[in-house]
Amino acid sequence: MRFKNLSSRTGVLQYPDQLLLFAVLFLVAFGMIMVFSSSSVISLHERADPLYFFRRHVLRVGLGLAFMAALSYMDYRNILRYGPLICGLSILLLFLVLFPGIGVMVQGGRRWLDLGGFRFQPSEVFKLGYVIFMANSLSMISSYPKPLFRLILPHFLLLGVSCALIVLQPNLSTAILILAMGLSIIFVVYRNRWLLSVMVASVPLGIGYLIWTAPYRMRRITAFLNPFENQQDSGYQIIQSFVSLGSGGLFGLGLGQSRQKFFYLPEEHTDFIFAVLGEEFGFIGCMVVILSFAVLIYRGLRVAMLVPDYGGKLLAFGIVMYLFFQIMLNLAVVSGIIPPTGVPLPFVSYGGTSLVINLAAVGILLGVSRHVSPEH
Amino acid sequence: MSLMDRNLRLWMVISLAAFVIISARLFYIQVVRHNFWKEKAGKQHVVKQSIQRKRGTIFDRNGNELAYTAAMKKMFCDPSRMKNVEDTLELLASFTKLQVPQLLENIRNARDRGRKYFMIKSDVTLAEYEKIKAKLDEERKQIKKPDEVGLLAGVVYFRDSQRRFYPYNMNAANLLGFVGQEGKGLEGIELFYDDLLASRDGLKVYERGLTGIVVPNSEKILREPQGGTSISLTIDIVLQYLAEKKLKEAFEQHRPKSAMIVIQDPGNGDILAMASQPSFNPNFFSFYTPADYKNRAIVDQFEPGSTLKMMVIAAALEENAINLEEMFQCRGFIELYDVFRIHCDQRQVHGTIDPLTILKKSCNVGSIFAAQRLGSRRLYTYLTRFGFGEKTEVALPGEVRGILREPKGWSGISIAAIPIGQEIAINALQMTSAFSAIVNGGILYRPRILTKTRTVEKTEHSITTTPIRRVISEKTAKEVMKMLTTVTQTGGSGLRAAIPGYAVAGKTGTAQSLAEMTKVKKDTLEEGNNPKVIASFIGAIPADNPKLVMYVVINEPQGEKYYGGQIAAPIFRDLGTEVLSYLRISPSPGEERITTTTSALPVVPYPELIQLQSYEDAIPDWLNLDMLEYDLTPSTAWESKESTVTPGVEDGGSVWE
Repeated sequence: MRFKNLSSRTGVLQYPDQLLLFAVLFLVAFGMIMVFSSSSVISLHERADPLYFFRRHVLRVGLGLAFMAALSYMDYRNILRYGPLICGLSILLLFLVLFPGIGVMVQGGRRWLDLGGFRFQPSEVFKLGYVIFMANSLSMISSYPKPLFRLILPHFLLLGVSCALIVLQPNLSTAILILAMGLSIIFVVYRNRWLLSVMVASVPLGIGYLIWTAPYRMRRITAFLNPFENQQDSGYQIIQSFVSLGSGGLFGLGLGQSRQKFFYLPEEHTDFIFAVLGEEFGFIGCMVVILSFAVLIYRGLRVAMLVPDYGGKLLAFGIVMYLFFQIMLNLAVVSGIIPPTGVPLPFVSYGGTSLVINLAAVGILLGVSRHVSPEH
Repeated sequence: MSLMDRNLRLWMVISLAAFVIISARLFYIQVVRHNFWKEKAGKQHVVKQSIQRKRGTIFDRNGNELAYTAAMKKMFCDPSRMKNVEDTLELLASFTKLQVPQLLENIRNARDRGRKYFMIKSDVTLAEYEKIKAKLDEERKQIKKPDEVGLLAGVVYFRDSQRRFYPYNMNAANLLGFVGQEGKGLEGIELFYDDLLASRDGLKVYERGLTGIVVPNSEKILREPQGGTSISLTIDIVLQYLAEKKLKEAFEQHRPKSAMIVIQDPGNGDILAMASQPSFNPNFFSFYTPADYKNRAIVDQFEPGSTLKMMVIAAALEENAINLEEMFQCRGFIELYDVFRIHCDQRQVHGTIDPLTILKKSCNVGSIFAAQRLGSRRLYTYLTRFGFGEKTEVALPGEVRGILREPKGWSGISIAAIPIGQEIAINALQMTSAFSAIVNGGILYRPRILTKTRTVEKTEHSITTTPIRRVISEKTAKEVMKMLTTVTQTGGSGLRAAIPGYAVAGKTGTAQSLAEMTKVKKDTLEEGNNPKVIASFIGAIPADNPKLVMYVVINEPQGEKYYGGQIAAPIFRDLGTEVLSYLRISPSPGEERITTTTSALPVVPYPELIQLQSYEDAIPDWLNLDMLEYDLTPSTAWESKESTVTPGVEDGGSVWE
């Protein structure tokens, strides 16, 4: 195998992917501006301090960037080695968070763990842990020429168990994210038409089951389909998002000029920050952000293609998918393509655990990119 | 390329496609549908709010509000949404006075015709509104579904309105006039100073958050409110009230066609009171006829009669056509061209008289002698200089010039008719001002009604008094005043105008038509069939230091008495007594002995008037009660009009400055 002793052959680590790094830093910077702008009203009215959320955001950005820098210098093969441990620990946490007294209830979901004032979502940690574990595990399988059900099956089992645990919180959007991420990683290794068909066919069945168990999801979907007839319900959120984006027009109202952040938009500094961005910076501003994301995804996939090590490929691809599905889920919600579900926009939204983990993931990705040989 | 790399390349395409889809979607929302969402955003954020400005207030000279505008609410309902019309009306009637049966019928009719709005009441006071609003909000809280309605919630709604109030009701009504439904002054001061008083609401927009908070720096004033300047009049509402009271009594007693009283400050021409009968209540002007609106002291012209004699004598003295010591012979009549014979009043023969006695006895013959000495040219010139035949230029609408022909247009008997106040028509204010000129030492002032204006921005502008010209010398004026003082003394024609304790200088007037005057010898004064006359008395009090000039005119009194000295003089006396007491003017020197009680006269408390001043409490009562006494309330009269008001319009209402 060509790539087996690649690093020993070159022995030289390259600079991390600069375009990728630049895209992420730009998004983080733009995100800080938007968090400041969108949270100022709610900060002032709920905390009597217009900078309340911004300050907290800056702290998390600092923490995240530190993780990113540190991880980009770590050898990803060491990280892969810890994959089973990280994944196993976070599954344990997913169990623990379900128990009252350990998991903290916020807005109807038991998703948080409180470690002496430091709160985090185990599902966020699990997302990254799962990616690492999968990359490690599948890279070992990949050395066999044919797909082996015997080894693939446990991966489906792990995916099913972890998604079920997260659905129980309940946190459907994260479960869907992990499902999409897991399947994309599995199928990038095994492109089995038969299996893929079964998976695609089971999607409506799964959705049907979830709606059947929780009728409020049906209401969300009907509200989504007829937002104007359901202005009191979830349709309200979609309409408010449209009003934000639409009134922004091509060039936007200008920084700080959003009207919708005056309590019309729900979660204006987290899940719907992109709507505020669209209102203040218009279609142009949205395109700049989307272009940055596209650069990020493209460069990430490029790293996955060019890195010689199989484990590194899968790790880079897994992280790219991990980011991609979050980005798409958020943008699709804000632009009204899918029903509202609470996913923050990576790097841009105000967010605690999610932001730190996302930056950590980028750190790992940057670390992998250092193994891309310069001739590419 | 390995299988894995092919898969990665596929993912590049997939991700690119996903970003393109999102971008296209955003392009559609943000660029293609921009106007649609912009409009939606505008509806959601932008609030239009009118900045209301009230019409200016009219004050009297002491700062009492004679006319002011109050904020009220118009109450509407949506008949098509009413579940139970009767219950709703009964509920509303417990807060504000309503004619339930009539409204019930009208609303049901409106509902049958599919009307979406109906004005229940045009003048709900703010206090009543607050109570109804509280009830409405309470109902609204219990409503669960958006299309559910309560008795009031979802059915009854309000719009801002204004209403002009005249707290003193009929007092000074003819002077003040009134304001029409569209807020335009239609009569009197309200008409003349409409440009100053009238106001126009401003308009502003601002943007608001979901919770109602105002988006910082989003407020824009689209139109500044305009006008609304307040004005202060020279009128003293207490004097006005006293004059109105006396005039109303006289009007009821003598049943004349009309009557008027003018009170003026002779020192500067300020009009202190100006009353007319018939009168009206400007709060409910629509229930009166236009004849009731007339401010007769300036819009009616009439022959003054003997009061004009003092101007004739003053002119003759000024021109030395006669002198004080000169004696005239009064045979009781004067013959002109051997055809016309003009008698003195009541066929009196005054014998040998001096100029003083001419005025004291109101001798026609003597006055005509003086006029003949003066000649037509000079007589005309002096009457013109006294202000007759031309407008006083008082700032009030509809003033008449009166009639004073030039000498070339005079007939042969004009030289005899004019000096006794015939063949000449004046308005009451002209006579008052001319008399003031004699009283104040010879200077004619332009009568002043407005003392100052005050804009909403608190800019004040004072209107100064304007002397027009010196008419006669001070010496002549003093002489004539001395003569006029004897009119109210023993043997004078105006004895009944005498006020105990005070010297009164004045002159009676009883104008008959010329035909009546020249009726040949035959006794025209049959019992119970009095001729048509204008009885008047004009006087200055106190004569030694005149503070006020008062002119009382009774046009065509009915009954046995009709002479100015009989009818107008007692009104003058009664009014003068109260006025002097109110103004706390001390008795004339040398006359204190006569009435020891004078100084002990209490200050008249005028309880009726003072009660009216507490209008804040009085409004709801008299507004509702008085209105309901009439069959036709303005609110039902307006109902048929198409209103631009529609329910549910997103509107921030209004704010008062």
